[in-house]
Amino acid sequence: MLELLNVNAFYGQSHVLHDVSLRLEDGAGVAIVGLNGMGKSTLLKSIMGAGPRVTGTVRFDGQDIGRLAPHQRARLGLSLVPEDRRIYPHLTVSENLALAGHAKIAGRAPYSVDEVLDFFPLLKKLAGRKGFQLSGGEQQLAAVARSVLAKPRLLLLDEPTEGLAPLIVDNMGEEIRMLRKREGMALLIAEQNVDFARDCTEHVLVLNVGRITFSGCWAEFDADPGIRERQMSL
Amino acid sequence: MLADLLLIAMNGLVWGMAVFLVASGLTLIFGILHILNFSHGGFVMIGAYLAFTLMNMLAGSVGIVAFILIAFACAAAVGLMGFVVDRVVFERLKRVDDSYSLIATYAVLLLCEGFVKTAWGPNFQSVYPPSGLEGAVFLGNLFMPSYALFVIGAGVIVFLVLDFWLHRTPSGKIMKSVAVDPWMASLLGINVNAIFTVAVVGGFVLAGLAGGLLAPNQSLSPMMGGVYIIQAFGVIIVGGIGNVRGAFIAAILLGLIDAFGTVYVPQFPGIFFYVAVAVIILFRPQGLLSGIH
Repeated sequence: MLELLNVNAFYGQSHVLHDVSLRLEDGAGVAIVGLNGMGKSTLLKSIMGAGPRVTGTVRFDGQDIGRLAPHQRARLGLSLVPEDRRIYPHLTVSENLALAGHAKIAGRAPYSVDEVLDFFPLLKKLAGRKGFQLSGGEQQLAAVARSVLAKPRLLLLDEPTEGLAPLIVDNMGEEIRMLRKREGMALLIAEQNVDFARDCTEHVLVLNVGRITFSGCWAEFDADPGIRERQMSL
Repeated sequence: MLADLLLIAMNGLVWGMAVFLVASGLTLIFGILHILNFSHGGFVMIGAYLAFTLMNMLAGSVGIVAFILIAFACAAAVGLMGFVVDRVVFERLKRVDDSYSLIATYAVLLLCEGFVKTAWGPNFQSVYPPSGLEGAVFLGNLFMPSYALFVIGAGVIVFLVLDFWLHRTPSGKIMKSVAVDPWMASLLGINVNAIFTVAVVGGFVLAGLAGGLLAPNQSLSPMMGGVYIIQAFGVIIVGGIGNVRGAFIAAILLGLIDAFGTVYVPQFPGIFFYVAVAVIILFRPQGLLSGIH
């Protein structure tokens, strides 16, 4: 479904990703773990074409999408939730969700706003609230809800649990697992919370100073405690 | 006494609404693209000259409805020019430093002046108000030119339509969302560049409309573009740059200050506008309202 070949990413003069190659099968769930500043966010933004200058090949369903604008990638079925949430303060939760209808994918009916609100019971009672009235956790939940409205085929989540209360983290995890199962949605998630990442995915990548230094299933990751010691100092 | 005060206030309002008509498109474009369009006054001027030509073609028998239709035609023609300017100029300004947009749009203003000189000549021209608006009416014991009342009405209507559109309609809300956070809008599948183009064309439509509606108010000359732009800049800076509501309030406020100042301190006509802008900016550098509204 998603294929990266020798992807390098740059912000101005700084070279953030070095020859990253990876494959994501249809419906697969992959966690990217690693310390802050190792390039996790840059990797997700490079896939979406939303920020860094990127060289190398990015393919989605065999199509080279490297020159497409972010909104075109969104309409192919990629959806990114950025780390800073970016809920629109002047719009209500419902209006924020509805905005994602612009990423409607050809031949795939999006969810209605009400359907999405049904998935996220904590959000439902906040539907009429404006973005600026939400707490950080509520904004995060709204951002994830907004990102699934168009029924994306690949969800890219950047640190979704950062700063969230445990109850909200549990709720979000459940919804993400349910949506993956229900729609066959693939997931690429950058996450420091290893337990949350493990609950949502089957595979794991370690990103260290812009290079992939480990790639395997969670059992392999857990079998070698040295990985954590060496790569992540967790 | 009361009638005198009212008359001064009405004159201030006429000035304010005329400047708001010009400033509305300027502030819309800045609010969404963050480009300060120096050429805006030039396109108001082109709108006014187009109205001059169209009204001359109808040879003196222009009624109110025909006059408004002519203003709409000017709006459409200038909007089309806006599409071209967006493709040729604004499109390139998104990726460069702000100072370039001042230089580039100032160059476009010079082009507008050159175009007007070539097409209509360097001499002053004038446009008579349409029939039905050339007289005056009594409001109580207040004697007001009908065309002045028409300008006030036009300013208020343009404000209400713009405000309703930005706050109440889905397309207005999308426009505002793109203004607030274009990056996130693009992640949500919104074609941000297309929205930018709509905003530019919208701003130019407003310039053309202002030109058409205000043509009878003054003598037309190739220099009028530059005069308009100064007053409109004052209004949008005081209102909170990019903010339509703020521009509306600032236009009324500055209009009243200037009108009363000119009557009571006649030695310094026109200076109160600048003094008021300077004082307000001193105390509220961000303008009366901030953000796009």
